[in-house]
Formats: sequence, structure tokens, C-alpha cells
Amino acid sequence: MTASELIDAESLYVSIGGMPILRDVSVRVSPGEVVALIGGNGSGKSTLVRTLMGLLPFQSGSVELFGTPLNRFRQWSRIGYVPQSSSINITNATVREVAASGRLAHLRPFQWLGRNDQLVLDNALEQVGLSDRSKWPFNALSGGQKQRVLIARALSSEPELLVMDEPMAGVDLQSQQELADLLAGFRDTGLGLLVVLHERGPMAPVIDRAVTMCDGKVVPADHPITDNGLDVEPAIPSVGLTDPLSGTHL
Amino acid sequence: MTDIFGMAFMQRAIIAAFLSGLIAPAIGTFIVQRRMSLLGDGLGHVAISGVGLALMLGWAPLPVAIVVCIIGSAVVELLRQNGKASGDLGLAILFYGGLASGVLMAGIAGQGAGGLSAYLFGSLNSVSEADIWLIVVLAIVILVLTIGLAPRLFAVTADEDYARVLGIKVNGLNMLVVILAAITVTVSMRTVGLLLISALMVIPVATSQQLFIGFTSSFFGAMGVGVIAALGGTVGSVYLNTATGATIVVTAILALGLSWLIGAQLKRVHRFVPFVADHGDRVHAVAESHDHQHAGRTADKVIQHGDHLDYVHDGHRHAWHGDHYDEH
Repeated sequence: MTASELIDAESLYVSIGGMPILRDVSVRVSPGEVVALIGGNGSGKSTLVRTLMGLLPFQSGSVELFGTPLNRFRQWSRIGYVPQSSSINITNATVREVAASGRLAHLRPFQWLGRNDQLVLDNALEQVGLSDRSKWPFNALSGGQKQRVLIARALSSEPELLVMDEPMAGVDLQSQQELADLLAGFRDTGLGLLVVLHERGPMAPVIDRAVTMCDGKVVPADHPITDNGLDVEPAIPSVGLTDPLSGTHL
Repeated sequence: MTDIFGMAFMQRAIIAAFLSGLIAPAIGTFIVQRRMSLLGDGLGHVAISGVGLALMLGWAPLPVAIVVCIIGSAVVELLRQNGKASGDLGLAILFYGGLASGVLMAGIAGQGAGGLSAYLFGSLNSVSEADIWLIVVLAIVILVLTIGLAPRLFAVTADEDYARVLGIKVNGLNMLVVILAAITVTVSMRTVGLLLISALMVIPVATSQQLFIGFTSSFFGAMGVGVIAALGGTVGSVYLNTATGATIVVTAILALGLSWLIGAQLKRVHRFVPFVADHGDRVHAVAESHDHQHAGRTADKVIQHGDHLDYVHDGHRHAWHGDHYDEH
């Protein structure tokens, strides 16, 4: 049943500026499944997600979204992408206007939002608990609230799969718990989820399957360092502090 | 003095200024959002070489400047998209190359830098009948594209990666923005002038952002402010006998100053209460003698703190607790 997979990536190799970043990475997300990509800084987890979304080219391997090869995939409204909230560049826009961008997946050029689009947007803001903030300036929100606006933006394209790049970055512990509860609710409605995480943290009970990454490779599931996300080895070796001959720390 | 407004050249100048006031902030909104506020200035320099070329060849300056400026803007954007203009050095070479070659070619045509000054700072009697038709047509094209594509252009300028994953043609729209900016700059050279048009793309946007919250309202607000500045400056330049562009830009800056004063009066802090998460149970110090009641008006700022409001005044954050105020 390969055709029914939401994401099916086989043995991806990605290099950026000649530097190999991902080596032989395979990842699969089935409908209704919550998959976490876990790893330290520089482990390649964000690169993997950006490659899966077609934002970065890959040198070899294959990516299929909803059974269609990435280069022929056009049904982008089926995917709700939630990038890192620090990447957004807003000078003056309301919460509702930021979230409204998600509806563009269903609109042709020169088409503005119609009545039905407004209803879907209302519903998306309601789901993330920001209905009462819809006229607020986006920049006045806290980190956790901004993250929820970006989730509402992704939801407003009515996706079957949410892809989230480090949703917990820059969000305090209590808000992380609220986000995890929110995502648990989405899982119960049958939405597939691919979440990049630094550590499992409050997301642990929500995750169906974790893919641990280290040094641009997937760590096998029976590897000892999988159970606690906090134990993931740093991807960047401590250069300069090891004896080059014996390999031991000085 | 009122007779002058009945003359054909003056009417053409007013129409041209009105359209510049409308289109410059429309495209400027997206330029500001992309944090490329000085792009218009650079494109103005490129357009100068177009004017110089036209003077040298003896052709009509406006069409030549438009073509040269579109080519220049496309080159700059292609360099940026391919990551080849990561430093601003390439842009500087293009822009100052444009200025220098424009002055050079105007000199060969026997005009010198003085002959260019009508194009640099705007001059009312320089809008010809052929010019005004070209200006009207191009202004309509720019308005249709910027307003029609506004939701998409907003999405692209706010978050390029997300727009790509929506299936939006991001590179094409980025190219469209700089080309429309190039046309706006050249179309405005007769009224506002090539060295000052960038101000009309940026200052009304800043003014409108003081007065309106939200992208759509500040987008249309900026166009309104731009029209007021352009018309006010044009009429003012007649009475003061000054360069049109300079008068328009000074008017726009006065409007910006006024909007700061009005924006402060609107007290947006009271309409959008910042949120601070609650910190759980903790014993608070009781505020010292506190003989007034807060209704939001006496405080400098109101903060939503967990489930209650804090009132900030004189450097203290006070919260009502039963029968007294706590320090938070």
C-alpha cells in the first residue's frame, strides 16, 4: 500500500554547497500517524523536512508525497507546513491576515478570500484557541501564540498532513504542553503529523513513532540512545578537545 | 494664481502626481515588507542612465528610461535569486554605474548634469501629452497587479518558504515586485523625480503603519497618504515656487510626523493588552498606600497577567487582590 503513504522518502542523499548533509535517509508517514524527527543541532532533521517539502534539491533517492513523485506533486493544499516561527517576516499584519495565507492554496491568482474561505479561517483560529485574538497585531503575540497562528495558517488549507519544523523552539514549558495537547487533538481527528523536535519533552505521549537522526543519518531503532530524547549525542564532535591519535578527550 | 490650475500642463502634472501618490505606496508596501526600502533609490539611479541614453540618442526620455530600468531591476533580482549578490557590492556597482553613465551620456548630448535636474527632483511643466497617456496606462497596470495579487504578494514577502510549499510561484512574484517598482520609479520621474521617488514608496507606508493595524488597512491607508502628499506637494510647489518632488517628500514627512502624534493618541497599548503567563502561587508584596482605583485610565500600560490584569504606573505593576493592590 505504498500509494496511500502521506510521505515516502527512500535513501535520500542531500548535500549543500558540496557538504554532504543527509546520507541514505528513508522516512515514511502513514495516514493518521504522528512521526517525530528527533535529533540535536546539525543532525540534519530540518534539512530533511525542507527536502521533503521541495525547498531543497536532493542528489539521489526518491520522495513521494501522497503517492506522487515530488517533482510532479501539485496538490499542496493537502499539506500544512509550519516552518520555524523565527523565519516569518511581518511588519504589520493581524493574526487573521497571517493565517489567511493558508487559504491561497485553494485560490487562483487575483482571487481574494470569499465567504467560505472566511468560515474555514474562523474554524482554524477556533481550533488553536485564538478566535478572540484574530484582530491583534501578530507581532504583539508571545512565542507560543505565534506558533499557534502558524498552525492555524497551515490548518486553513484543510490539510491531511501537518509538517512542523521545531514547533517547540522558543516556546516556554507551559505553552509547550498546550501545543502538545493541541497536536494530540489533531491526531485524534485523523490528521497525519511529521514533527521535528529537539527532544520529546511534552510531545512524548502524542508520538506514534520516532525517527532519531544523528550526523545526517537515521539512527537504527534498536540503538541504545533512542529512549530519552535528551540523551541524543551531539551531532558536532567536540573538535580540538580530543587527542587525534588516541581519540580520547584531553 | 488660480489660473495656473486651468492650464493643460498643470492638469497633466496633477494627474501624474496623483497616480504616483497612488502606485508608489502600493508597490512600496511590499518593498518595505521585504526590508528592501532602498531598492527604489537604487532603481532611480539606474533610470538616470536611461534618461542619459535617451538624451544622447534624441529619443523620448520616459519610454527609454522605463525599458532600461526594467532591465536593470531584472538583473538585480536575478543576481539576488541566484545568490550572486549576497553582498551589496554588486548592487552598488549597478546603481552608481547607472548614475555615472547617465550623467556621462547626458554630457555627451550637451546637457550636462544641470539638464538632468528636472528628472532628478521633478518639474511640473515637463509632463508631455504623450507621457501622460503612458503614465495612466502603466499606473492602471500596476494597480491591477498589486491589488489583485496582494494576498499572494503578502504571503511571499512574509514567509517565502511557506509560500513555496503552498505551490505559489515565489521567484516569479519576487521578480514582478522589482519590475513594478522599476516602472513606478520611472513613471514618477517627471513629478517626484528619480532621486526622491523612493521616499514616496516608503514614507507613506511608515505613516500608514502608525495609523492602521493590519496589512490590508495599512496597504490602502498608505495609498491614501501617498495621494494626499503628492497632491499637497504639487499644489504647494506652485505657491512656493519650489521643486515638485522635494515639496511632495517634505509634505509626506510632515504627514509621518503628524501620524506619530496621532498614533500616540490612539493609545494602541490599551486596545491590545500584552500577555504575561501566570507564575503560579506566590505570595505578593502588598503595594504601599494605594488610594486610587484602576479602571485602566490612570495606568501607563495594562498587562494581561494570567487570569487577571496588571496596571503599570510609575514603574510598578499593580494587581487588584481582594481588598488591596499587590505588587506583581
